[in-house]
Amino acid sequence: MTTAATTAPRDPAADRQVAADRQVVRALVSLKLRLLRNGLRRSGGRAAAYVVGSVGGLLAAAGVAVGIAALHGHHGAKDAALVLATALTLAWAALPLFLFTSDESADPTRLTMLPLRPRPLLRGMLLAALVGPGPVVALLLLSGAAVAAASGAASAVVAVVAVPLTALTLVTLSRAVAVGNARLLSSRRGRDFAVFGGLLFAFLIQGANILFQSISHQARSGGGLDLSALAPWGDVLRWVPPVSALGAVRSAGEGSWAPAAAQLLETVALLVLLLRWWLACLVRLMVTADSSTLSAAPTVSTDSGRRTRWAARLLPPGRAGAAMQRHLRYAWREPRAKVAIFSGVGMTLVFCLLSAVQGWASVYVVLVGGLLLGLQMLNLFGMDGSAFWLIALTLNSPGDARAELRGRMLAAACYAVPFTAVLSVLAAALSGGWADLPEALGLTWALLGCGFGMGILLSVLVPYAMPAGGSPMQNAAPGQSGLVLGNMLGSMVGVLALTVPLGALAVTLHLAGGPTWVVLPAGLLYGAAVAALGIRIAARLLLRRLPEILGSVIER
Amino acid sequence: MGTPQPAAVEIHDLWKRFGQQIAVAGVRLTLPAGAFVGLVGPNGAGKTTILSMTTGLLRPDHGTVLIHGADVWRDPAAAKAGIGVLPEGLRMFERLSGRELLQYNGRLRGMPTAEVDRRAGELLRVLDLDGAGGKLVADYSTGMRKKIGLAAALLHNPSVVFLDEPFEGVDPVSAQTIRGVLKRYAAAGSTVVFSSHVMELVEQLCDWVAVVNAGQIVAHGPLDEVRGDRSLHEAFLSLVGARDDGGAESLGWLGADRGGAQ
Repeated sequence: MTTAATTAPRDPAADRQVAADRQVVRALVSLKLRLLRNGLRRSGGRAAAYVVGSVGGLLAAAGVAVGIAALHGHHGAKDAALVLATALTLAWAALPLFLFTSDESADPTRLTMLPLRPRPLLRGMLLAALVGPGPVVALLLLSGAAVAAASGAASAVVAVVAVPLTALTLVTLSRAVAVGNARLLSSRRGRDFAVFGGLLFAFLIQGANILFQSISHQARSGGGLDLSALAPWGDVLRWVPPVSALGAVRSAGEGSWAPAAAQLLETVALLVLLLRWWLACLVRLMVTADSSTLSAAPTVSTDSGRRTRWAARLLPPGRAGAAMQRHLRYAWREPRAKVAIFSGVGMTLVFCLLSAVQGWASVYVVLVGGLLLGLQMLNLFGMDGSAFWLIALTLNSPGDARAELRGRMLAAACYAVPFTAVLSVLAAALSGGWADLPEALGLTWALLGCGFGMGILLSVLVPYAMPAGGSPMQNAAPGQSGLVLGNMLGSMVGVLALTVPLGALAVTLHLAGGPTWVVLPAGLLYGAAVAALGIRIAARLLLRRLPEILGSVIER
Repeated sequence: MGTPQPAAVEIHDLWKRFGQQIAVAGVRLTLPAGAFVGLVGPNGAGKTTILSMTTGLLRPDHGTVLIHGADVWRDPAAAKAGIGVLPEGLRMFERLSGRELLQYNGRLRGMPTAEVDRRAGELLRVLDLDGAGGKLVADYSTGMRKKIGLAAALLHNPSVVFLDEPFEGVDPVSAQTIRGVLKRYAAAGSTVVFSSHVMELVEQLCDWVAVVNAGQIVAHGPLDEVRGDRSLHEAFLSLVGARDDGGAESLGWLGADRGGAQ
């Protein structure tokens, strides 16, 4: 805004232009505020979730900031500050992949119809991006990191420049990534692709978590916090913008003025480059048509091929087979289904890895897999969305309903059973607990079966809509988060309670020194029985509740 | 209504309320078998709500629907087996390819696989979806979606097919294909019920119309009876009480001299 104001000559046309540009900037900022307000007004639950989430996020950020600031003076604190800033940068770069579709004010393709000049548009979008709790979180964390990295008055002076500069660069980075991928993210294929970015990011976070855990584990066992492992990272990261701005704080504290200046300039250069790129993308976006539908859609594997006919022979006959085949196809083709499965599998793997890193590996970690994968049956029809009408229209008898549910359960069992089996063997090999393998696997399959039965019943009783076309990471339409959370926690508790009899059997056999391998067949039978019972009860309810379920799973 | 025909669909005193708004207020309608029925009305008149309740997708607050004598809400199995539906605003399983969607549909309806494959192939060919049969429905254009939806609705050769806005957003070429298939289906003695607000289309295709406004049937009967000596368009506008002054007293600036305004 300032450039336009200072360089404008005294020319009425130019003055009008400046005023119009200012109006555009103001309009964009107020658009963001209004979108936020209207989004919150749609439901009280959503507003509450937003407030709680924002306050929680701010408190957590403040906590982390205070924590890292408290490291000030500690050996390695400066490296830790740089690593934190790097993590923050990665998070901001990945943010558009999750949230882009939910922030309409960030989507320039919605504004292509208006006669807007790119520069005021850019300024308005940047200012709008600075509104909200996100930038405040970034500022808090960066301030904490700056305190950890600083030493002396010179550092403080540099930090006053470096922290806002870095925050601005992060916001710009996030928006530039979003705009650079706007076409990609607004097309179906692009969103599918973004899921992988999101998953990768989630696993990166888990990786960082493991690193943190192992450091704090060392700290507990070895006495004192040892951050020396971070030193080689710090040496490199201090030169990488925008983290280099915090590197400048550190350099200034060490009295190295030339490096400090260079590091600050690096970040400024990055900011300028990002802004230029953003501007170039905006200019291009405003004048190019959406080409996402022009590219030829690829053909999925030929249906009449020999492979599918062979696979079809493995499927159960009739409706159960059709439902199972569709469920499995969706597991591969529908991003939300894929995310659900991969996050269940991924969380189990991370848990196993964590146990191995921290030295409490045991064959029983596979139980987590049973619990998490059992919950795959939750909200089955919400995943169908409004396409559930086809199911509703073709379910005519209790037998149909049972076949439909059985098919879906078999589809999930198709990957959950082999996965837990392989994982338990791996865990036994790692921990040497071969003797406990049958027992652990029996308990896992009991958990799996109970999860399936419970999930199927809850799918019929409390179906809820999942957002259409939005981020595949969101698993509930706005205003239903409470319902989803209750559903998740309730079913977890329920599944654990249902598995108690088998757990009691295992404990008794253990204490009495009996043959614990009995738990394997017992668990298999018990799990299958609970699942079958769940299907039986749910099928009867399903048939009666078809229109109600359809009504509650239609995406709004 | 002239000669007494057996009824394909009988709707008795159908009501539906959403919160404060009464969407359908006491609809009574008897649709003759073998007719090509057009359900016309302005946006928000309740066409979709009526069709959803008629096809068993939305539970009415009150009233009964009989399809060839079977009560949709008492004996859904018998009623649903004989109907095909193309809903509006509801998605299909779009991560299946067109051919897979038809195969899935057929299997859900308990049809033999070989027969499903044969019919799916023919439907895809006739509807010009031959080349797109292997592509995901998610990648289809609007016209292609409507066509694959129509194929899914006709696959099991129902005696009545309900189509909600089958021509909405469809290009003339696809519309012509859809019309051809529907005409052929109706000519064989089956009943077509479709909703639309394109009067010209209804006039060309239908021999029987029902006009819906504000949740009620304001006129129904054979096309010639309802429109009289006017065009259906004019009859419709007078039935739903539309103004045709285009807001003459306001909007004085619209299309006026652009010199002063910015």
